[in-house]
Amino acid sequence: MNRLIYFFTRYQTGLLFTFLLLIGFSFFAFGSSYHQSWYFNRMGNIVFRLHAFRENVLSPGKYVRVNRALSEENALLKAAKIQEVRILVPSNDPRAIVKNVDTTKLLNFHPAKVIYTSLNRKDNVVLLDRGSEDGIQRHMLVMDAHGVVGLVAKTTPHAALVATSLNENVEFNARINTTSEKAVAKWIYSLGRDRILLTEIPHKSKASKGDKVSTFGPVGESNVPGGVPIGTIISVEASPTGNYLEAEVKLAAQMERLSYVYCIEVKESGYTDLIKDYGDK
Amino acid sequence: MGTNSIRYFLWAFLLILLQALIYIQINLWTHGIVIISAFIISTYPTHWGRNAVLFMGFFVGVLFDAIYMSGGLHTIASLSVGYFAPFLRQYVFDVDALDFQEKWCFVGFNQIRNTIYFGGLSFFYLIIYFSLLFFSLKHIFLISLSSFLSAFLTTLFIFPIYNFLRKRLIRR
Repeated sequence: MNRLIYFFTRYQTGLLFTFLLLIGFSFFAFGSSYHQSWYFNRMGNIVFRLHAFRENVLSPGKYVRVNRALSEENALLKAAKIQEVRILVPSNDPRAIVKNVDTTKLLNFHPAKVIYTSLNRKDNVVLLDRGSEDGIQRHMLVMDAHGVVGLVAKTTPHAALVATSLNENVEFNARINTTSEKAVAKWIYSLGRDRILLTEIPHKSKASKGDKVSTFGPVGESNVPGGVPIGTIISVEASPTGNYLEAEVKLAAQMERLSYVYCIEVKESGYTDLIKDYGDK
Repeated sequence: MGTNSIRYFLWAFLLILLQALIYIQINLWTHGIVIISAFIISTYPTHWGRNAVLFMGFFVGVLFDAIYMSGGLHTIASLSVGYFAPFLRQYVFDVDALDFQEKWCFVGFNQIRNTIYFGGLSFFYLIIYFSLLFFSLKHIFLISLSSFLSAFLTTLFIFPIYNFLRKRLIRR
C-alpha cells in the first residue's frame, strides 16, 4: 500500500497529465457529432451572445444600428429578387419543370446573418443569428445571393446551425440544367473550399464543362425546392468504378464571404396544390 | 489562493476575452491564425506547482474549444503546453537565480529569451493544433507551414504585451 501511495505521489504530474489528456482526446474523438450537439446545446447561448457582443462592439461606432437596419432591408430586397427561382414539380419525369410559377405562394424566404463560419473542418458549419422563434426550421435549404450554402441542421430559439455544402455528411440531389439529368452532389475534403463533386451522372450523359447545376427538387420526403443554383461544371470524367460519370463543380455560393443568407421555407399547402395540378403531366 | 493567483486569473480572463473578441484569421497560401492560449499558460506565476499549470492548461483549452467549437483540439494542445512549459522555462531562463518568485505573471528580463520562450511554446501549441485539425500525413507540409506562420503572427501579436510587462518589471 505504501508503495502504491509512493508511486502515485512520485508520478502524480505525469498521471494527472495522462488523465486530462485522455479527457481531451475523448472530446476530440466525439468531436464530429457529440461535440457539436453537446456544445451547441450547452454553450450555444453563451457563444451566440459572445459573437453578437463582438459583432456589436467591433462594428463601426454610432452607425452600427443604422448599418444593421440597412443590411436587413437589403437582405429582404435580395430575398424578393430570389423568389423568381423555378420550381421542379415532383414527377417521374425529371424534365417536368414548371416555369413562371408565382413562388411567393410556395416559398418563404427568411433572411439571417452569419455570425460564425468554419471552413477548415471535414464537417463545416455556419451559425446564424435567427432561430426557431424567427421561423427557421430543421432541414430548410439555405442559400446566399449566388447559390446553395447548406441545410439547417439544428435550431435553438435564437440561433441556427447550418451544415454547409462543404460538409462530408451533406448530400444534395442535383440536376444538370442543360441535360436535365439527375446526379448526387457531395463534398470531399480534398476538393477544397470552392468545389463539390457531382457523382452518379448517367454514363451516356452529354454533360460538359460550363453546364450549370441546380437542386433537383422534392424527392420523397425531401423538401428542398428545385432550381436553386449549386454551381458550374469545370470537368467531367469517368468514375473510378466506371459505372457512371463524375464531375467537379465550382460552387456558386461564396462560402468564404458569407454575410447574409436566406433560409427557404416550403409552404406545404401551396406545394401540394401545385403537385396536384402539374405533377402527372 | 493568494492575491497573486487571483491577479493571474484576472489576467488570463482578460486575454481570453481579447482572443474571443479579436479573432484574426489570415488565409494566404496557408492558414494563419492568432491563438494566445499558449501565452496565457506560459505566463503562469513562478510559485505555481506543475499540477496547477496542468489544470490551468486544461481549463483554458476547454474554454477555447467552447468558444471556437473545435472539439478538443485546443484542450489537447493547451494541456501539452501546460506540461512542457515548466521544462522550457527552466531551460531558457535561469529561474532559480531570479528574485521575482512572487510575481503574479512571469515575464523574463531578456528580450531574446522571452521571444524564444513564448514563440517556441506558441509554435508547439499550434503544431499540435494543426496536426489534429488536418489529421493526415499528406498535409504535413501544410501543417508545418500553417504552424510556423501562425506562431509568427501570434508572436508578433503578443510581443507588445510581454514587452510592456517586461518594462514594468525592470522599472520595479
